Amino acid sequence: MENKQQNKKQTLLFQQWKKNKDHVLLTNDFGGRIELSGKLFNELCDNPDNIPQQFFDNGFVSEMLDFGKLGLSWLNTHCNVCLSPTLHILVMTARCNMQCLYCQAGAPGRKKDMSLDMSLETAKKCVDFAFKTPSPVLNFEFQGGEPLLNWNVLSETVKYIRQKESESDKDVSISLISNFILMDEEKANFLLQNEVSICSSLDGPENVHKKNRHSENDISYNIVCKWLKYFNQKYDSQLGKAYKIFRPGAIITVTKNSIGHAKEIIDEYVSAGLESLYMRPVSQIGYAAVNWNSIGISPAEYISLYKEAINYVLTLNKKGVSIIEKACQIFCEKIFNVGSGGNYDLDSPCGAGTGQIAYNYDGNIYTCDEARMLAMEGDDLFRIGNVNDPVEKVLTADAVRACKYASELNSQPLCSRCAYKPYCGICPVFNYATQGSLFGNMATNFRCAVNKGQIDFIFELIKDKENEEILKKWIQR
Amino acid sequence: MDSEIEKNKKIFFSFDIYSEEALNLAAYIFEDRIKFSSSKKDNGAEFVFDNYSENDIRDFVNEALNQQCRIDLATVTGPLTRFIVTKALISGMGEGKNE
Repeated sequence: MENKQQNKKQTLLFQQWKKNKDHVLLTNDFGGRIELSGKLFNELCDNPDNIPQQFFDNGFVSEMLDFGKLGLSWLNTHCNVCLSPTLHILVMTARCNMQCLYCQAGAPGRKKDMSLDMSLETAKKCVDFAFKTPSPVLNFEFQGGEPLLNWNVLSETVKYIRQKESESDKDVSISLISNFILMDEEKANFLLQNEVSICSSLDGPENVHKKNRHSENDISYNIVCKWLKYFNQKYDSQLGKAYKIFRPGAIITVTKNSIGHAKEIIDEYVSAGLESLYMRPVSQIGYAAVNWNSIGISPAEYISLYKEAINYVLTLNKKGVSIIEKACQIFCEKIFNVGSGGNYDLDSPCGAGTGQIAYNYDGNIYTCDEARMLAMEGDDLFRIGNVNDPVEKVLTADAVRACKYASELNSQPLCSRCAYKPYCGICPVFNYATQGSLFGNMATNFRCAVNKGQIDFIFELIKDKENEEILKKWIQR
Repeated sequence: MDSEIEKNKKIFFSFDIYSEEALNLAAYIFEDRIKFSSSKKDNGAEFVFDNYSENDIRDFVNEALNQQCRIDLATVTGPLTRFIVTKALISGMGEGKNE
């Protein structure tokens, strides 16, 4: 398309577009976004004589590109391109005291085999390895299995991290993902005093949570609610404390059992005193693949539930209730702020091996936690080394390079021209586990359908100015 | 969708559309899922599928098309992808921070 303006030849750059009823959404890799009527879009395609100013401002005119400004925008939206690993996931044990229907960690049925615990020696080597990586920011995340089953090593590792932090110039944070069954006052105090942020799983009201997350005597629901309230109270009463207390978080895994309970799920979070929730559909990998017939959910079912949930959250927000949904917040950050959203899975290329790495209980290192979970199923394809290996060798392992190529969206047939490319990302491990190749096939890819459905919905929502204002406030939190 | 089991279904892939590389990649992905044999014939390859459902075979054909599109796309976007991936790997090593 060419346009004569000020005697200069000008070409409209329509990199990616999507027709949505009577509107067309145009986006570009610099985060530029224009929504216009189908009529105006057709006029500009046929006769680009009078290009509106916003096309110049947003990098849609090839002869008028401000490369300095656009380059910075591009980097802001592609955080994985300029990172070294910040997220270091330590699997304290592959054992678990629960038997969740969708467990991806390969933990169910492994309660007593102590050889599945990480030793203190290995844990310290993991920490040493992380401190040798170049990132000035390190986030250690303790996972499992259930990490509290290996409490002695966990607590000693926390102390070791804090000691290493005091000897370095790195900015360190620590988080724990736990089902709380083994939590007690003493452990809680230790975690709070060492500024460990806490996250758990709460799948909704008691009947839904119990169906998904099996525990001995069905105690999980009451225990999760009790400790979320406990940590919330500690957060609210931290004034005067010598250490910082974080608000606890929780994630929801949406399964077939969640259908029809969208509002109840949100209400459960509000009554637990939480101000955010993170919804994600169950993935057909690990133990969930075995139970897929009883818990599996289609992308359409998930999106339907997601819409109901977000609409309800917005209704609560309008009534003054403070709560947000994190997946929506991440997409909004990318759409409104031209930022990365801070999520390694929703970036191009993905953060496997460069934004995050996962250390299994035995000291083997994987590109990400999903890759480590796959290894628990017996497939070591994404193993990138061991804590005894040199950092340089691990960070440039074949699997890291393969993940980068496979998740770079310009190399994906359906993604390279997708209007949602600036907001989206793919997971090579998920593709490999569900479709047999790292590249996957987006035409039938579960996550692609879910991401598209969520972003479609957000663009539908922000046509309402009040909704748009509320969602913009979510980003500021 | 039809999911009846069929026997000896033959599908011909013309080399005018599908490269050998795309067919090999699709075959590699499906080797654990579908039993098949292949042979070169005229200007293409003939795949003979044995005892599998129409859905599986449709998925295979879809994957062959996906691989071919990816190969074709790489001729256009390959340099950009290589640049971005190289930058990501260099950054991962902690270099190029001040660029």
